[in-house]
Amino acid sequence: MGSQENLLAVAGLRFFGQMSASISHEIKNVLAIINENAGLMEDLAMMGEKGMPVSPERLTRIAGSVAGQVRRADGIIKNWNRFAHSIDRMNEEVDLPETIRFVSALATRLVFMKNITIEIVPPHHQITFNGSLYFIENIIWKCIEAAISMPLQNDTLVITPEKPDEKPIVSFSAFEGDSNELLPTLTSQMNRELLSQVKADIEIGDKGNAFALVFK
Amino acid sequence: MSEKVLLVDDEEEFLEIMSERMAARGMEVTCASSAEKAISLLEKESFDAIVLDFQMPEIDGMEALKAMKKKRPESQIILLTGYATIEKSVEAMKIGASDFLEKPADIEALAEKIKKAKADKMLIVEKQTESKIKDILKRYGG
Repeated sequence: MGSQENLLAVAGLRFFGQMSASISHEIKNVLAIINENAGLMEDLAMMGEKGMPVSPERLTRIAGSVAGQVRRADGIIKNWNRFAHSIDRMNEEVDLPETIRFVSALATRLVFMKNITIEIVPPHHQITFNGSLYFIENIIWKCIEAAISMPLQNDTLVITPEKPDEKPIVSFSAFEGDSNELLPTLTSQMNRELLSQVKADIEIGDKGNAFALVFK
Repeated sequence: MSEKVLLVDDEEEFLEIMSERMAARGMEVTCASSAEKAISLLEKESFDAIVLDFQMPEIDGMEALKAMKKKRPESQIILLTGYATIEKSVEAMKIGASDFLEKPADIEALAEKIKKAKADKMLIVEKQTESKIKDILKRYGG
């Protein structure tokens, strides 16, 4: 394997590791709530044995909480499974807005930890093209990760997928500072390999409060 | 006397159920859904133990821990962590956490750690008082 392929493989593995660590942490939180609900039921059963009344409403609330957490875990695991399968093919039709939505959902906790909200502006028409879904997800995440490291207006990262001409573009805005500061991170050696793999470039907006991922 | 505990976690449902179970075990529980809220509570009152989720939004767990220790150096902080490895928790113990438990936690194990934290804190406070008395006696020639 050449050094460029090596870098790409490391980037890909790191992405998988980072997402998996975040997802497993989220699942641990879900398990902790289910565990406390089970413990609470045990507590209530012990109280019942001692002749203290246990209201059916209380039990219904516990059941509701467990069911809610099971739904939450199911959503997390579905995303994880979909993510794991995105490496299956090296070339396929990629729906760009849907991929952005998916990466945002996958990274929910990582973004939430920064107290940031992501707003995805729906495009007027479909934006699809052929490429490696996994590495496109990877570079979108690297853009989000860099973007949330900077102060954002209203703590909101606005992601706008567009296709003004033949080139699909994803813009990331609106920064309080100068987005030029993100350039070294966005164009690190590893990110350059990713950009080359997905045939894209990074461009900084004229006003310096946005940057764009431009697919060639 | 019941243990006075500050429970800090960003998962509201976890706070609600855990605090109910802790209260059923005779503890006096105050909840905070963020590290900022917990730090501001520490300005007003002291607790026998602080049970802190190590990964919460805004303030990094290490930073929260440092801020809490700065505000109340005698604080006994028990970390609740979702990390599958203990590396981070060991690092946190080096900067002043008293103990840690992995999520999902066993409430009886947590209750034991809280009791120990209370005893440790009492020892620290007693030593602080003793040293203050000695200092006063020295200054006034007692």
